[in-house]
Amino acid sequence: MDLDAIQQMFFQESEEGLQALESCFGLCREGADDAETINTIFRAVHSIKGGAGAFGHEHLQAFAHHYEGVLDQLRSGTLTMTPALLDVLLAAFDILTDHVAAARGERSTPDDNAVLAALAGAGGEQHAAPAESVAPAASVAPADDFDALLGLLEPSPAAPAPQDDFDALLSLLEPAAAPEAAPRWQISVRPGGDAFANGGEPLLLLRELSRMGATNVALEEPGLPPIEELDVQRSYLGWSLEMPSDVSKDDIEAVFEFVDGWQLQVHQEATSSLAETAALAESGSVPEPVGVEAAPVIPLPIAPAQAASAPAPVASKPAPASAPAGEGAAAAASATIRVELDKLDRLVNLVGELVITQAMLAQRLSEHGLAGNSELTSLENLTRELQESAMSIRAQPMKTVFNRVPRIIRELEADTGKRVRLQLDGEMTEVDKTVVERIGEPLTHLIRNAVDHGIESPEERLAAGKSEDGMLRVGAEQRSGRIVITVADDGRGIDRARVRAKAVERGIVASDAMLSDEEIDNLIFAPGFSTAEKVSNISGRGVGMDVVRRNVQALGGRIGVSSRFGSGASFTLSLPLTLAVLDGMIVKVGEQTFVVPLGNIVESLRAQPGQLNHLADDAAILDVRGAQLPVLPIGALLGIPAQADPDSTVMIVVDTDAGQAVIMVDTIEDQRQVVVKSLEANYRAIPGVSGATILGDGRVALILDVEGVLTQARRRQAIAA
Amino acid sequence: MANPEQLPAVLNSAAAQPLLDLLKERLADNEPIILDGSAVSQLGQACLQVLLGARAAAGSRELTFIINNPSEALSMMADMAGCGELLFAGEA
Repeated sequence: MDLDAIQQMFFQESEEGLQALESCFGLCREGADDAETINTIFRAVHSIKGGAGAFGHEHLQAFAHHYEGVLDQLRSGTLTMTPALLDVLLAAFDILTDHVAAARGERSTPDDNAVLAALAGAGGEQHAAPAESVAPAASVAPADDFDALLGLLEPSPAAPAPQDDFDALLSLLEPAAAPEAAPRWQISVRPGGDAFANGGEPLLLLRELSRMGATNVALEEPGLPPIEELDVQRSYLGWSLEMPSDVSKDDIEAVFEFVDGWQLQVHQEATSSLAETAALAESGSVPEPVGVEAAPVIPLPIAPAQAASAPAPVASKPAPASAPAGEGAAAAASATIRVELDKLDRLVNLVGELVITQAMLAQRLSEHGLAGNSELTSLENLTRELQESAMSIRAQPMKTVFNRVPRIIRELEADTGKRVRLQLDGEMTEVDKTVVERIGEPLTHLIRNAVDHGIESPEERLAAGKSEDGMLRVGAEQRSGRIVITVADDGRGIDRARVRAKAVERGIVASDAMLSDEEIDNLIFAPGFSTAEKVSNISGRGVGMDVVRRNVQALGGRIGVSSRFGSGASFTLSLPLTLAVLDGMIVKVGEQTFVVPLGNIVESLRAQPGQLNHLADDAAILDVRGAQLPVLPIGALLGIPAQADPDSTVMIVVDTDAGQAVIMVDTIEDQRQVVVKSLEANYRAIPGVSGATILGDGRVALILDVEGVLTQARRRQAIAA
Repeated sequence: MANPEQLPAVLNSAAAQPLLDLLKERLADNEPIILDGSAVSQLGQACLQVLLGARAAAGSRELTFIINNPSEALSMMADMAGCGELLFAGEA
């Protein structure tokens, strides 16, 4: 695996870490900031820091280092979570996200000065407070600070000084008293011989250990050959060093997470005797961590009380030196495996081909009178199960999209001064990866729109008898084989009078047009429509909602809106669970076979005499139980010779964003699941056709884009008029 | 004493081979190795190995090996790698 691939793995894991952080901060906002949550946050930031160090992303690493410092205080209990601190941590999280994006080359390095100052302030405040209540550990007392030295003589609850025992009093001055209880980590590390391959730099990892507090770093160079034999491509060195006991083994091993072929041993041994350690400290020969940045937050030392409760001497429970590294991580790794998306797509594609081949086989056997045998049925069932399994591998929870929402809300709150309570539902609803990747933008726009235009300012809300905080609900659920995403707010709702007036003013509708409430609501999706009193940089310049609609339609989805003036609005996106397979009705028009997506079909019928009213050459209206629906003659629209006699045709009533319409076809052949093949990838885009498929008899059938066909029909009518 | 050889600012993996060639040449000529480290802003393991190898070779031939004026970055990285004293301890 080359360095780029390993770095990509780091970026993927960083993304997962950021998602975990978002989830954990969501819990914190709800007051569930327990130790496990804080630990998870710390570990995620620490892991990102470690990887950043390994790959030389210094800005990211430096920021994560400061961030981690405050989190460390939080998890050690020297800092308690408050709303103000949570705000600082959230702001730092946003900057961390930006730093990761910058490391990926997706943006410039963010300006983190303000947040670093806030982190320093948050850490500094806590730093002062406990110092008064907990006797500081001698190990951090500045040697030249006499006042601090005297302070050590003051009894503390954790380490009361015997009043009559001067020797015992003096013993408080021994700096190694606290550290001795916890054995330090002994580390031996030797990069693999090819550690420089692909730009690898072992010293970066050593530097990371140094930043984590490594001491007693000793070079091991017995493997260094004579200079005449030295190959600059090979690594010959190794090191032994010590790490503080309060750094976890996992954190140490995480530094080496992205390197292969290294020899690493991490184990704990009994520390040197008190006297030896004290002597070392006194002589100043205890090596200080080298290269540690001047962090604005100085982590508090282990308080005596904590030191006392530190693990018992190692002799009683030695950590096996030969224990396999990262047992927990190995167990977790065995549950999942990373697969390149290309490989997965190839598998899905091959399964699609298998489905087609199976259908062709069934067709051929049927032609020879062998349909309906049990083996064929088994093959069909297995094929379908295999396809569903393959598709489920591509499925991802909506959580990956929803995780971005809290930050969007935080930014909107900051920009607008509005206050929003966010409710996320259905985060674990699974949907195809393509949908997950492409739904983010429309969803973001809907959320921005809801906060910018829907939810009122706190003053307006109070005046309207509402709570100061606006409510925004973003939900996802599976319904009838589709995923339905809802963005609902309790804001001012759609002012239909204003929408209508604006639409008339912009020439979108005639002033005397008779419009239903639903039709007026749908005007907001018209290109260029905007009712914002002033252009903001939040919802854009009124070009957003039609783009949202187009993006959703491109995913094979629909968008709808319902609103109650003064009470809020709700946008609903209905999307297919996957774009790779489709349930469709196979129809014939002339000699051509088409697939009509089942999701669009309401019913099919044969027109009775008097039910069909011709308006012009191509235009007709079908009376379906009193509803006058436009008829779309597919043959005429796509230029295919087809049945013209209404008595011989089949009318399929379909649902579209613009209401119901009727597709006129010659015959209905079948209803089945088809594998969607991209026309754009294999030929070119055709208006009114969303894709193609291969049928069991080997014929290619085009998949109708019902919305597109309706648009085409309207365009023709407009031109004819 | 020979003029000090200025070490390049970036002593990364790419700089290791030219550095090795230079130092081997000096050793082959039995010349003292006097380096100026004031410009070094980056030190990688590959170059560190070359310097350590050259120092050992100079020592075995009773030649001088000195890195004068080590920059802060060079000192820090060498210390961090546990070989600051070894590299900057004066003549080999």
